[in-house]
Amino acid sequence: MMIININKLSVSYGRGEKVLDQLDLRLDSGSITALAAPNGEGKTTLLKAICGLRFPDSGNVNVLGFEPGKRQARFLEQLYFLPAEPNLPAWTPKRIGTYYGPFYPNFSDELFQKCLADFSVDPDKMIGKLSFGQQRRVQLAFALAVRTELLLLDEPTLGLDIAGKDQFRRSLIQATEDGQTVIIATHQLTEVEPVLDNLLVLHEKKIHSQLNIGQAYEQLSFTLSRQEPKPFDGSYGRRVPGGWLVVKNDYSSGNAHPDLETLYLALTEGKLKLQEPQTTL
Amino acid sequence: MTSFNRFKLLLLRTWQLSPRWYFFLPAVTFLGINTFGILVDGSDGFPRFQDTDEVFLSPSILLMLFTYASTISLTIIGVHLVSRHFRNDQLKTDSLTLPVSNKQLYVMLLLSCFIFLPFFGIISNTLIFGIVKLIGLYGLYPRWAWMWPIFSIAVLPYMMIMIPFIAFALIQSKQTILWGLGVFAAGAIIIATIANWNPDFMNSVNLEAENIGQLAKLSDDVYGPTLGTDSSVGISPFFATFSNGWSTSIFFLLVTTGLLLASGWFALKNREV
Repeated sequence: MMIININKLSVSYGRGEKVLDQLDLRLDSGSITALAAPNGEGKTTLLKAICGLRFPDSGNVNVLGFEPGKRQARFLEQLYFLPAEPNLPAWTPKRIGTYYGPFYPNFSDELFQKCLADFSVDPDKMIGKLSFGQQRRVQLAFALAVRTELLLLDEPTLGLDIAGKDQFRRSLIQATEDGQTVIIATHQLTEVEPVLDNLLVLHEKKIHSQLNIGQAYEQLSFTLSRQEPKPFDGSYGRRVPGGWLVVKNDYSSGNAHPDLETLYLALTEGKLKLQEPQTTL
Repeated sequence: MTSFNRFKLLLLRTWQLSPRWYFFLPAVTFLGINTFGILVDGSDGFPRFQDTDEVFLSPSILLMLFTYASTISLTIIGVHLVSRHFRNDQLKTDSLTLPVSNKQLYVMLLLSCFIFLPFFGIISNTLIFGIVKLIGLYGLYPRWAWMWPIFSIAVLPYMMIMIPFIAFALIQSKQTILWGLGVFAAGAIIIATIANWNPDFMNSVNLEAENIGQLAKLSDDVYGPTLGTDSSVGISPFFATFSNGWSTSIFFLLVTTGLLLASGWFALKNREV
């Protein structure tokens, strides 16, 4: 089922240059998708357009059958947006769950408590006494416990330590087993790669690439080479210790070192074309 | 999820947004003014010029100053409370993505301001009146004087000042604030035109004000509120205007408030982060 349908979306700030221009996006439900883009290319703007915090200059946005800009309560209770820098009330995590949770019909206090425990956060400790990383854990625990149909996470691993990132991945998989759709806007593709189904690359104000990661890896080869690949030979090389990680549109060369960040760089630098670009995931 | 809980959440969020010292502002202004009054107090409770023995600062004037100072303080608080909600991107995001409709959000924000501000105004000023009573100066005020700050702070300023200012704060754009000020100016012109059209209007206002209580004269054309010694309530010509030019004033109030609230509503609906 298509959960997001965006046609020719253009968004600008004030009278400035457009951040998104004639962007098209169709996304089916039940997947975890990374949204990657260079700095300032409009990742957060796209998420805000999806959840109704930003209105289109032109084009149509349809999310979960609603027009997000109207900010209807029935729409907002099916969606949760975790901003990159949220502002938590000066309460205990338990109290946050008590007050915010009931706004979301599928909120599970049990899951919230479990996520907090998994994240090793004391539910009775005041937010102000928690470190930035621990506060982020509280936010993530709540985001997972609301169990909305669509979950938008902006840089969710920001401030998390290694154990926290690992727990986030595990909790995300557990919490989305019942078919939630998750979009993770991030610069840290490697950190979330293990849980991803799809990759969206936003570049030059449009969706540059939209692909299923598993299928992409079946088309591509990732090999280590001591020599830099020649330009214009259809491959992309990324300097790594000991040589070059080369990605080619040729699965027969082997796929020993699949790497999402290398794939992202190859796509955004225009060095790689997938055989069958997908438009709908 | 009950509406009450939703309201409670927004109320708490509003509380968190508020710098605590704001809530003491009315109390501080009141305390300052009263302290000044006490310091210059004459033997009969009325401060006087030393040379002429003329009363220059009656309790009624002090009360007037206090009322205006409190009103201004509370207005600042109100504007700031709401504007903080809508200036801060994180808070805007939090408020605007909460599963409540724009209408509910707007009503709750307004209500939360209405509850917070009088609440703290009443508490701080009742405390101050208590102190005044304790130190033996209560005789300067009628027995029911404690009601006056409640009435003046909790009701009148909100009716006349707070609602439009909250709307201003919600609007948060220079153009619309200028437009709002234009509405106020237009209202003033309407009042002036009516006064000009009916010269007796202003006279009747002042006469009525004199009848209401003892009018403390500061200068030829500036009058403060009066505080009667028996049954009359202190009232300024401004309020007297409202009591006399009733229909005009209500019309002005309703039109202005309505326009500004409508602006606030449209501003909220169109608010982006």
